[in-house]
Amino acid sequence: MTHAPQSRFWTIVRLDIRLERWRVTAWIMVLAAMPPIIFRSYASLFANSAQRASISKAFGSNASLTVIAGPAHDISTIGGLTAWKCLMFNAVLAAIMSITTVVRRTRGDEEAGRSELLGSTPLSPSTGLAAGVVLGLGASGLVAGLSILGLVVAGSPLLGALGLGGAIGGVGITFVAVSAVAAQVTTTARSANSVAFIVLGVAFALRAVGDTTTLHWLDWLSPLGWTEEISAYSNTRLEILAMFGAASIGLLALAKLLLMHRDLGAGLLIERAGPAAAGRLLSSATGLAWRLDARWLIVWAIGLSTFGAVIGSVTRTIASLGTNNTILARILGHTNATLTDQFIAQMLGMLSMLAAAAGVQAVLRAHGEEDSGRAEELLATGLSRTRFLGSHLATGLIGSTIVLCTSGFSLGLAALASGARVTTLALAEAIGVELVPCLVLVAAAAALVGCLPRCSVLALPLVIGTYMLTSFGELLRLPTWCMDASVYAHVPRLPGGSADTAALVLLGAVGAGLAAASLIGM
Amino acid sequence: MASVLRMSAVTKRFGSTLALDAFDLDVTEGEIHGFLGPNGAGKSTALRMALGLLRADGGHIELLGGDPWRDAPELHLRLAYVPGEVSLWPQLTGGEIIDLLGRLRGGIDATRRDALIEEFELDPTRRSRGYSKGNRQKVALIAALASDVELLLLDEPTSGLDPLMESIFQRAMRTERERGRTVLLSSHMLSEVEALCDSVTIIRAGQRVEHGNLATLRHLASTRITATVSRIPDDLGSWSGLTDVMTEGSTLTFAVGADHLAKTMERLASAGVTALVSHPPSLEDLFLRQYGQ
Ligand SMILES: Nc1ncnc2c1ncn2[C@@H]1O[C@H](COP(=O)(O)OP(=O)(O)O)[C@@H](O)[C@H]1O
Ligand SMILES: [Mg+2]
Repeated sequence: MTHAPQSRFWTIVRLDIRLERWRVTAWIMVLAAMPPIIFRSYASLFANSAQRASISKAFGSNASLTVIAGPAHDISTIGGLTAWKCLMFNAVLAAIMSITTVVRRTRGDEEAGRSELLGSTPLSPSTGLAAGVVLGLGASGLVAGLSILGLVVAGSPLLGALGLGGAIGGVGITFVAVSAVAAQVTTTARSANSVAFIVLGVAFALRAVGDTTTLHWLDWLSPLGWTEEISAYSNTRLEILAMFGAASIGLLALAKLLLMHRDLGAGLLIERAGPAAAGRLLSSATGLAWRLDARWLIVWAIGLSTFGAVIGSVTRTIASLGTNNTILARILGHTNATLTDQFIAQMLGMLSMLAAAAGVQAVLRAHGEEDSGRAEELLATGLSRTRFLGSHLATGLIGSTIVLCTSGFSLGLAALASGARVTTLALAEAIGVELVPCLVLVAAAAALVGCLPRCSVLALPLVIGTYMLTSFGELLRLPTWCMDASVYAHVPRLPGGSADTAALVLLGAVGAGLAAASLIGM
Repeated sequence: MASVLRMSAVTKRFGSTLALDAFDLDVTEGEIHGFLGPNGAGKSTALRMALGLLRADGGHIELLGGDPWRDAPELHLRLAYVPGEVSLWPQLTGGEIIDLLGRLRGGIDATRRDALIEEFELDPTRRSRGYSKGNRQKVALIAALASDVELLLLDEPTSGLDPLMESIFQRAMRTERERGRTVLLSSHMLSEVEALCDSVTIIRAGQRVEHGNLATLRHLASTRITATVSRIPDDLGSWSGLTDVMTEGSTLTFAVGADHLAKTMERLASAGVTALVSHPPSLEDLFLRQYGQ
């Protein structure tokens, strides 16, 4: 009898593992493989210490990269260079892994009603939450363990490997706890995801500002900031890893407290009553798609615009800190550009990818509606399948455009206000150019939904993978054809570069082709 | 008889909605208790509160001798529940889910499971993604019926089943009664409750408006009578306890409450009754009495 509750708990953990096995395995493989692979390629790329010293000088003074990757701690060593290249990126990905996995298995199951069925069995009320958390902790733990192992095998000193792998896993673990709380606050999985992603965005912005201004203490408010303080490969401070543990324990206790005091299915906020009759918007499929997604797209737009404004406001500091350096420019693949231009171009690239993710989410709703059977109700009204998908594609395209334009201009105008030298025209041109790959990705997601619905789950990984190809491809010395698979390989870096109109037109044609294919495939 | 579930003066609010308003419910051991009410009356809310999934804002709930909010896991060992909206894991097959739920409830009777799958004509190898509402309900129902528990809480379990399956469900319910299990069956279908239940609770806007065993309740409702008499009595208008009176030639139709039945029969006899048809009160009459107008 004493063992029965235990064994029931592990039954649910096993169920969660079973449901998430492919997704989580893919995450773990990508996250654990990156650090050792990058370590090895740096080791062969910069074999002698003179090369490393010159790289170190180039990167160490470049604050524009500091915004994305954090400060460069002792990058005269291979380990330091590796940590600087992949720490922040992997930490953010580990957080995304934790958020999506934990929210799906907690609030997601609750929203769908599966928790009601399980809640009637002899499980303690916190079992669903605890099992989702165990799954998330296990995944982050594996990411940390395998990263450390891989780094050591690749030739990294043990202490550095512990610091780097531990920091990535630590962020994953902290965001398991953040998601556990987010899942108690809201009633839908989508809004729980939004809450957790906003926390991630704030954590990123806090450390970005902390790293590039004199407000260095801001770093200590952000789990992503703690990863830098560990400084894996020079004067390693492993004791900082304890902060992830402490934060997680506190947040998990809060999540449990909130759970024990609420009803199944309820959040902290009571849902408002809605309108009794349909407004003018709800007269077409696109109107419905827009009504369903507008709220989320606005959340994305506000979140990324705030983020853009924060980052933009430090542009001038960055430009004044950096020295224009030819080695650096060559590595960034962006010659003849001022540091301000380089910085804005890099940031716009990142916003473009994030805006694409927002639009892809809206397109994926078409798949969600079909999977849940709601689409049948609509399609039975005489709405054609083409128009049904078209409505969600249109919403995704418009949504991405709004998100990229608002966040891009926030970035640019904040940069202008901070005294950076950019023109509004150059900014508009750069945003226009970044819009092309962004919308192509949205169209690609629609093509998956329309032609290969079973592969729809690949739409978001496709966006992240595309971005990774561009940021890591050169370093990994991937063949050109492979690099060219990324839409971002074909867009000029603006402002500061020259717009290659032919490539853009071609890319636009590919996007239109994908959109057409999706509608025909449906 | 021992009480299996007792709710007294239970209140539940969702924001400004009062879902249960000083609601009472008594379920006695060994009975099939019908729980009737139209959509939105509060049936599902009451069942979820009995399970401890929702917390009461006021009142007292005793389930199998314990407090469901506090002792849920222990109490749940002794019951099985079929929710009104059954939602399953799309990736798992029906058979897997039945076993999962059975194991969580402390074991499943394999022969009974297989027999029920056969009876309900469920394909246990299909992934639940492709199941219709009825099939999802069958999965939860089979898992509940094959578990070794004292109490079954069923929330409109037949709302997705076809008439054929419904009769199989009714047979299964009678088997449950013979095995001595207690069933709380929520429904908005009168015929089902009438065919199966020993006692009934009727809920309306979160309040219990009628309850008792079916025989007693029938007593409260009117019997419908059609009589042919040699002459229509002149003082018909003054007969007490009659409603819906209609005359057509020498045929007289009316409804009469149980307390006035004997007197009315005497009067009919003296009016020279030549033919008489009586319809016992149906639950429908009971129901309409509460919800009519
Ligand atoms: N989670 C909830 N949030 C808000 N209102 C609810 C919730 N659950 C039920 N209600 C409301 O409570 C009332 C009773 O609902 P319910 O118990 O589902 O009725 P029934 O099962 O009898 O159809 C309805 O008005 C319903 O809208
Ligand atoms: Mg209901």
